[in-house]
Amino acid sequence: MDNFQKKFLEEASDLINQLEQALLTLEQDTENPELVDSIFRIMHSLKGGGGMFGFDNITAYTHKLENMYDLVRQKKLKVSREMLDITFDSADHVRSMLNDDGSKTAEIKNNEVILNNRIDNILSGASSGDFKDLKTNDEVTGNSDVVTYYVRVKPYEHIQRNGTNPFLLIDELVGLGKSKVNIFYSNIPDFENFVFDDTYIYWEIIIATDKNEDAIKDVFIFVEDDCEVEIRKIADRDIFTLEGIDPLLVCRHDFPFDLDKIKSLADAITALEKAKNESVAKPSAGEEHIKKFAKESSISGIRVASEKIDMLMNLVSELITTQAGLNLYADKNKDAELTRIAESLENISRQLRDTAFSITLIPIDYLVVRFRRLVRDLSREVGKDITFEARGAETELDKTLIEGISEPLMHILRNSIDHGIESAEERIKAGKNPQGKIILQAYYSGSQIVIAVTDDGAGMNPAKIRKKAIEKGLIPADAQISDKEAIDLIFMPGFSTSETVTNISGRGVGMDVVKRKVSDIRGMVSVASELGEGTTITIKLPLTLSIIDGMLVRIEDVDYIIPLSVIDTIFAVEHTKIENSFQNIINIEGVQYPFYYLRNEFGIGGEPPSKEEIIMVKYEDKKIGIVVDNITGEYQAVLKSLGKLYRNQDIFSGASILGDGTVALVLDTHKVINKFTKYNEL
Amino acid sequence: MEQETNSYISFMLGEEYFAINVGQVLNILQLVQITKVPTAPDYMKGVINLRGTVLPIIDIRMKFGMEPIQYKRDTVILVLNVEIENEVVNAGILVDSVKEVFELQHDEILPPPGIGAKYKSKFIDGVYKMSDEKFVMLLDIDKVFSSDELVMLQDTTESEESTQAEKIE
Repeated sequence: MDNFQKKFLEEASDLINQLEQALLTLEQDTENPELVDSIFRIMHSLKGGGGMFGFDNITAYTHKLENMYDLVRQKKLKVSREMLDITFDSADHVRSMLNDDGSKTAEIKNNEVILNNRIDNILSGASSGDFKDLKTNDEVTGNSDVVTYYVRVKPYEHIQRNGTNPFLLIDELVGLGKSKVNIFYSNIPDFENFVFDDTYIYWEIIIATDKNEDAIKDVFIFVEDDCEVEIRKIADRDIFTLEGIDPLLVCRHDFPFDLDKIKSLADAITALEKAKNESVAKPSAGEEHIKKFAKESSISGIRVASEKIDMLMNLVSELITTQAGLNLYADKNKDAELTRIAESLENISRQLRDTAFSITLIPIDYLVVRFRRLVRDLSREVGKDITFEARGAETELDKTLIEGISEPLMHILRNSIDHGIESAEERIKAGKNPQGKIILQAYYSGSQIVIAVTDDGAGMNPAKIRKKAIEKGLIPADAQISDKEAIDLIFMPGFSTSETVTNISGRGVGMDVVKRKVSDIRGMVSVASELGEGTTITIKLPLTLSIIDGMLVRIEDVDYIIPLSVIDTIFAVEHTKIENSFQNIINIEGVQYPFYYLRNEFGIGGEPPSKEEIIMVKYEDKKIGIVVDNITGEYQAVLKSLGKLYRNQDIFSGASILGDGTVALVLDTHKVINKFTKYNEL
Repeated sequence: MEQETNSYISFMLGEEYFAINVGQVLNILQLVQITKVPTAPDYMKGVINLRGTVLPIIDIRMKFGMEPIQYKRDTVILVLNVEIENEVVNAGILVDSVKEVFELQHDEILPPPGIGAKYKSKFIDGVYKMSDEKFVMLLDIDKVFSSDELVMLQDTTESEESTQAEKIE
């Protein structure tokens, strides 16, 4: 495959993603012409690209879809559920065509036949829409040449006597374009005067068509002597697409169209549009998310291979390590000029670090599109009506975090759909809205990113979980555990409470996998559930995986780094005060703090200094002291993995190479506290 | 693995000669300051900076039940490519001294010592008799590093505690 084709494949999959995003928005707002336009544009790009790079099958297929949306654009079709379904399926279909290596060609072909049939059904159903006038042939083109006419048809009373059916004439007329028809019965005489064969009714028609006036006249060419036909041009455009026109086009018998009003509205809008086109195109007063969508599709960044970004990050890491070496050297040499240079270099590399880091950030929105699709498809599969709402989708995450978090979140959503949200009947019985709701919320909290998935489903039953855990031998039968602890049991390997194993969740791999995957990217997952009210699963992730601002500290001859983000305050304490403390509680400035004496916890021998430092770190809502020998200073640590051999030492989130070439260990204070707390309680 | 070469590098642990296929040896380093990783088993000596990456260092003497290594002038770090659970990682082993690189033919390798031998024969691919009548044990270093063996060692108390603590969590 040549380079251009590859490029097209990349672009095409981007386009398909955009398409899904637009479809999901359209689903919420089926009347929005801007969205239809953007969908049409996407199809068009796909079609064009496919043709250019030899993907003729894609071109042929997207052409059909494009036709369908073209009709929507022309208001000849209304966006329907089936249509959205077809388009979603088509997105998948095009995707599989793109990825086809020849092995699935037959399957794809079959699929295409089915989809084509569905599209044809929609297209043929087009004429049964709201307007009686729809045509499916290709003669009807875009808005550009469409003119709107007013036609008044008043047959003479005798018209039916020579075999002319005036209804057929009207039918023929409305076949020329889009129309609205008013019928007038007011001339129908009293019963005594009523002549059976005579025609008393007449019509007023507003029609938008790309045909000229002669075509309209042609309709009545053979009945010129049998009726009165008045044709007037109203506007040089299709007035049916005008905003606010609908009330003026209401069809009521014996009610003439208010032509003056229609005309003035058409003129006003035309003038307005002209003015708009002349000035800078301003966004219309459409809803916020549509604006955002349009913005996103217009401002696009540049595409960079992810290896290049990784390379950049590595180089920035190296630079920071080298720069730390320079700082150290400058400090040693007491050269004012060198110190100045080192400081300004530090400043620049810090900025460079932040910028390079921000390049790797991707808004969580990137995943949300997929999740919407998942919720939509799965909820239908299990026959539940579930809405999905994403809040804070603009929250940005590191690329690697996005990759790592996608699967666990997917699993959590599946659980919510499958087990969490009850069926509509159950929900009604419980006095809830029959429509379930899942909310995904993302936000920054200090040095962490929090992603919470909340459903308003049945919640978890601690008693049921406890029973199941005992049955499965996960806890002893006489175990005394709180409700909170019981709910936490869902994170244990091999735990799955679903009574029926479905193909969505409940394969026995459940929340324990979620927990493991999340901790692979140094995150934490917790659950809160209220029986009958719903469940919230919260994932907390570190902001960054590669570089952290830390405090460099020392115990005996080893350097450690504590992330600045967790440090609250630092106190100097006499060693004797620590020695005399009871139960690892120390009183500082009248406040009692629990603390951990790392020299002991780590089993480091040697003589402690007479004055030590106690660093208060944030742990949940508490402050807990960590005692070290002394503090060297702030340090930008480039985080390196400790490797597979040290994977059991998870109290260290990694290591960092200092300016003098030695290695410092980065402490994960949360895990340190967890580990030694459990250890002491044993 | 490029293990198929017949060159081996020999080194000493205490009074014994061992050898590793050179295909698995990346580098020989002078002893540098090793940063100890608290809570790790004792034979895991810590980590060093190897040109910007963090390299774990193993005291292989302790793995073989010998006294912990004493750092001397000849003590060096052999940087190895080892396969742990189907993943190739770099790790350094501390040895008392490095001897020589030698070639051998496949038929010169004798079977590993049997029952009653001093060292677990599963770590040893075979034995080679050198010209000075000394025996060299050819190590299967991947097996030495395989995690099963780590657990079998007596110095893993701390890591066991930590896994226990994790389980209780």
